[in-house]
Amino acid sequence: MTQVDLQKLTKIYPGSDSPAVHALSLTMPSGRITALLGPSGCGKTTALKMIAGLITPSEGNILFDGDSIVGVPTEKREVVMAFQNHLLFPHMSVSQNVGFGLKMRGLDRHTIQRRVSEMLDLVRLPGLDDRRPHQLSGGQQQRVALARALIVEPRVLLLDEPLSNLDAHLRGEMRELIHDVQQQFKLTTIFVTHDQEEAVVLADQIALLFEGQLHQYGPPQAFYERPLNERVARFFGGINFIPGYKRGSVIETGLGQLQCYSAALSDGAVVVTIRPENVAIGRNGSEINVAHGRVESSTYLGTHARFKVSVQAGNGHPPLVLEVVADASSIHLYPVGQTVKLYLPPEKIWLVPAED
Amino acid sequence: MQKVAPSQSISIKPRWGNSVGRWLAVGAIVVGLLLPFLPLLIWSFSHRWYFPAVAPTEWSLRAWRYVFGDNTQALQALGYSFVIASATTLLSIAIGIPAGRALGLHEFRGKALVRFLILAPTIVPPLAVAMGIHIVFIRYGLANSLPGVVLVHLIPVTPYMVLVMASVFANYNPQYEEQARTLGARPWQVFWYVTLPAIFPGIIVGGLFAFIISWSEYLLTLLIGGGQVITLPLLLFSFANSGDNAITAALSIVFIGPAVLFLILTSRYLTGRNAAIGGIGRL
Amino acid sequence: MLFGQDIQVAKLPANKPKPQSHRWRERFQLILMLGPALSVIIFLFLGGLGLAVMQSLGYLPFIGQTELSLDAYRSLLSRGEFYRSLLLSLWISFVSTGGATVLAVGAALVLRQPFRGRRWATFVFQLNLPIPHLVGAVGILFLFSQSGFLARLAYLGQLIDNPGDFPALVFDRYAIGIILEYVWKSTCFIGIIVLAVMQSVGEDYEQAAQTLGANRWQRFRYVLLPLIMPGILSASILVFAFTFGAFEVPLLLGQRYPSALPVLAYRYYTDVDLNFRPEAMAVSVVISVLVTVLIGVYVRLSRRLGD
Repeated sequence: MTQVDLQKLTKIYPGSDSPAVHALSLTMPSGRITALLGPSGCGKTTALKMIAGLITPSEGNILFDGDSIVGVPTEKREVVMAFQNHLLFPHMSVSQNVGFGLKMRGLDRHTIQRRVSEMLDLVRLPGLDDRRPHQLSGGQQQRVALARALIVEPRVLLLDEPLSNLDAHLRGEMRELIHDVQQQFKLTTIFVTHDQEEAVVLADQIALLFEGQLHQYGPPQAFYERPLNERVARFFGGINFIPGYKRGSVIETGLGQLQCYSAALSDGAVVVTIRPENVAIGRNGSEINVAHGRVESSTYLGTHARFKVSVQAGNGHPPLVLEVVADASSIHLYPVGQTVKLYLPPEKIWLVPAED
Repeated sequence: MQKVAPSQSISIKPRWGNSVGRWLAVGAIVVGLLLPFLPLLIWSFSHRWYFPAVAPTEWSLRAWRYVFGDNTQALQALGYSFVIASATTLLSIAIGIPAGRALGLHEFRGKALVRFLILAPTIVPPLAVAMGIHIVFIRYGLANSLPGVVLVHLIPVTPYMVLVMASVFANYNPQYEEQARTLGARPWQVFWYVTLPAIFPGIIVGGLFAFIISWSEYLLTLLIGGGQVITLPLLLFSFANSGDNAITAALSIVFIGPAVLFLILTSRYLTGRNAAIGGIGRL
Repeated sequence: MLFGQDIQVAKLPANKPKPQSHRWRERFQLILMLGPALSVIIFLFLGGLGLAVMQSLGYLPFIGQTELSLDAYRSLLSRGEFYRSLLLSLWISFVSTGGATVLAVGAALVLRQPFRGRRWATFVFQLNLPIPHLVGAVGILFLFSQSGFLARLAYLGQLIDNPGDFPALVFDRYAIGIILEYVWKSTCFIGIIVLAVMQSVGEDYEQAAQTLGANRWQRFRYVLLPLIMPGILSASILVFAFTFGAFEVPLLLGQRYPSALPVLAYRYYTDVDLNFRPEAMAVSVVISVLVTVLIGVYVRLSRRLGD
C-alpha cells in the first residue's frame, strides 16, 4: 500500500526547448489504479519512466508515502514496470522469466520455483514453465509479463499500454485479470495509454495530459459528464460545441436560448457542449431547449444510428450542425432531407470556457 | 511559469566517478587506436632519427618524393592496387546481389548447404586454396596477370558480399516490386527505381568490405601475381623488410589513404540500424 | 547462419502449391541467381582446396609424379619444427581472439552510451576497420621494437640505458608483437559488430530487468550478454580463423624460428627443392582442417554453455 505523489515533476530533454513533462503534480491514491492518458508524445511515458527511475527528472519530486525516492536507483525502488511489448527475455524460458526478479534478489532455487508456479497459477498459465516466449500467444506473453512483475511484490506496479497490443477479445480477459490481481494485492497501479476506452474501463482515476501538461484529473465519469475544457471533451468523443453567452442559467446561442443547470462557470462567453447520445430527436412535449433542423446525413451502426442535423441559426449566425445518436430503428423515421425537432435536456448540457 | 522551491527540487547530476571512469575508458580507446600511427607519421618525414632521439634530428621529404616523385614504382603499385580492388568490388557486387536475393528472400531445398558453402571461405584460410590452384592458373596463363589476381581475390570477398546482401534482402519486402509492376514499371525500371534504392545501403557496406579486403590482400597477390603484379602491400612489405623506415612509413600512409576516405564516405551506413552490418553479427 | 542460428527470413506470402511448370521456372531462376557466387566457391575455392589436397598426397603431374601417398604428412609429423609452429600458431590465435573479444565487448559497452564526443570516438573506432594488417604491423614495429618509439620514451624517462634493455616485444619468443597487432585490429572488428548488435537489441530489456531489481552487473550478465552472444560468437570465430591462417603479420613481426604455420607453409612452397611442394600443401591442408575442427568444437561448446 503506497501512495504516490508527484510534485511539480518536470522533464526537459537535452536539446529540446519545450518540456516533455511540465510541472506535473498528482496524488495517486494507495491501492488504486490510475491512468496517465493522452495522445502519443504527451509525456505520459516519460512520467511513467521517471516514477520507475529510468529517466531522471529535471525538476520536481516523487514521493512514495511521503518519502522522496528521486535519489533511489531503479533496481532499489520496488517499482516494477511491465512494458507494452512485454519484453520477455527471449533467451529464457517462461519460468526463468517469471523468476528473474527473485533470482536478482539472491533467493534460493526452491523458493523461486515454488513462487513461480504460484504466480503462473495466479495468471492462469499453469504448466507453461519450459516454453520460450516466442512460443506463446500475445495474450499469454502479456500474462507472463504480469506474473514476472508481480512476483517481486512491488510497492507500485507500472504498466505501459497494457492492453493495446491485444486483440479485442483478449482485451476483456486481460482487463479482468489486471483488475482481479490489483484487487487481490491492493497494489498501487499506474498505467499509461493513448486509448481513452482502455483508461475508462481499467482506471479508478484518470490523469489526462496534453503536451506534457495535466488538463484534468479525476474519475472516468467526470471526463464524460464534466470535462474541464473543449479539448478534454473532444478527446472523450464530444463533438457538439456551440458558442454562446451565459447569463445566469440561460445561454444565448445560435439555437436560441438554452436552459442549463450547470453552474460551474461565471457569466460571459462560454461553449455549450452536449454528447450526441444525450440529444433527443423527434420527441414532442418539451417547450424549452428545442431546435428544428434538417437531416443532412444518417449512418446506420447496427446497435444505433447517427445523424447529422443542420440547424438554421438566428441573428445572422452560420448554420450549426449537431450530431445525434439515436435508437437504430429511428434510421427509417428520419430520412435525409426531413425536418426534425431536437431536444437538448437542460440537465445534460455542460459548459466549458470559450477559447480565445 | 512557477519555479519549484529548492527544498522540493532534487536535480540529479550524473555521478562524478561514473563520468571520470567513462572518460578514462574513452581516452584509452582513442589513444590505443591512434598510437601506432604516430611513429608512422614522424618517420615519413625523417632523415636522420637514431636511438635514443624522441624526434628526428634531421627532417626531409625524401620518402614522399620517392612515393610521388620521378620513380614510378610506387605510383604503379598504387595503380595496380586500385584497379584490382575496384574490379574485385564491382564483380563481387554483380555476384552478390542475385545470390543475396536468392538466400534472403527464397526458401528452397539445399539452402543450408548453399549458405554453408558460400560462407566457408570466411573460415578456411586462403593459403591452401591459393597454393592448390596456382598450377591451374599457370597452365591457363592466369598466373602473373591482373585478371588472375582479381579472380583469386574474389574468393575471400564473395562470402562477405553475399552475406551482407542476404541480410539486406531478408529485411526487404518484394511486394514493393509487385506494386511497381502493377503501376506499369518494366522489369529494369523496377530494379532501377525500386529494388536498387532499397538495397543501396547494403551495397555500400558490402562494397566497402570488398574493397578493403581486396586492397589489403597480400598473400594471394604474392602467390598468384608471382612477383609481376606488384601491388602496394607487396611494395610496402619489401621496404619494411629492407629497413628503410622513412619510405615504409610514407607507403603505409598512402596505403591507408583510400580506405580511410572510403570509410569517411560510408561511415553513416555502419550502424546497427543498417541490416547489412547486423548480418555479419548473425553469421 | 553458417552455424544454424536463428535467422529471420521474410517469408513470401502464402505459399500455395504451384503448377509444375511454374516450379521449374522458379528453380531455374534460383540456379541463375546463385550461379555466379557458387562458381566462385566451387571452381576457385573448393577446386583450389581439392588441388591442394591432391598435391599434398604427392600428385604432381608437372614433375611427373602421379602416385598418391601419405609421405608428405608422415615426414611433416616427424619434424619438431612443425609442432613448434603449430603450438605458436595456436598460442597466437587463442590469445589474440580472447583478448580482442574481451576488449571489444568492453569498448562497445562504453561506446553505446550517449556522451559528448561519442560520434568522434566511434569514428576513431571505425577508422581502424579499413587499415590493412600490414600497416598495423609496421606501426607496431615502429612503436614496440627495441629501438622503437616506446623504447626511446623509456630512455627519456631514464628507465633504460640502451635498446637491449627494452623488453623484446617484436621478433620475440612469445609473438607479443604479432598478438598486439591482431588485438589492435580485431578489437575494432569485433567491437563494431558487437556495437551494431547492441544497438539492434536496444536498452529496453535491460530497463525491464532493472525495474525487476537487477543491478548493473546482473543486467549485463543475465540480460545483455546472452542477447549479444550470437554476435560475439560469429565475430570471434572470424577473428580466430583469420589469425590462424594469416601470413603477412607473422612474416614481418615474427621470429624466423619457429615461425607460424602459414609462414612455414610458404617457406616450403617457395623452396628451390620441388620435393618440398607436397609438404607445403600438407601444412596448408592441416591449417584448413584444424581451423574447421576447432571452430566446430567452439560452436558446440558455446551452444552447450548457452543452454
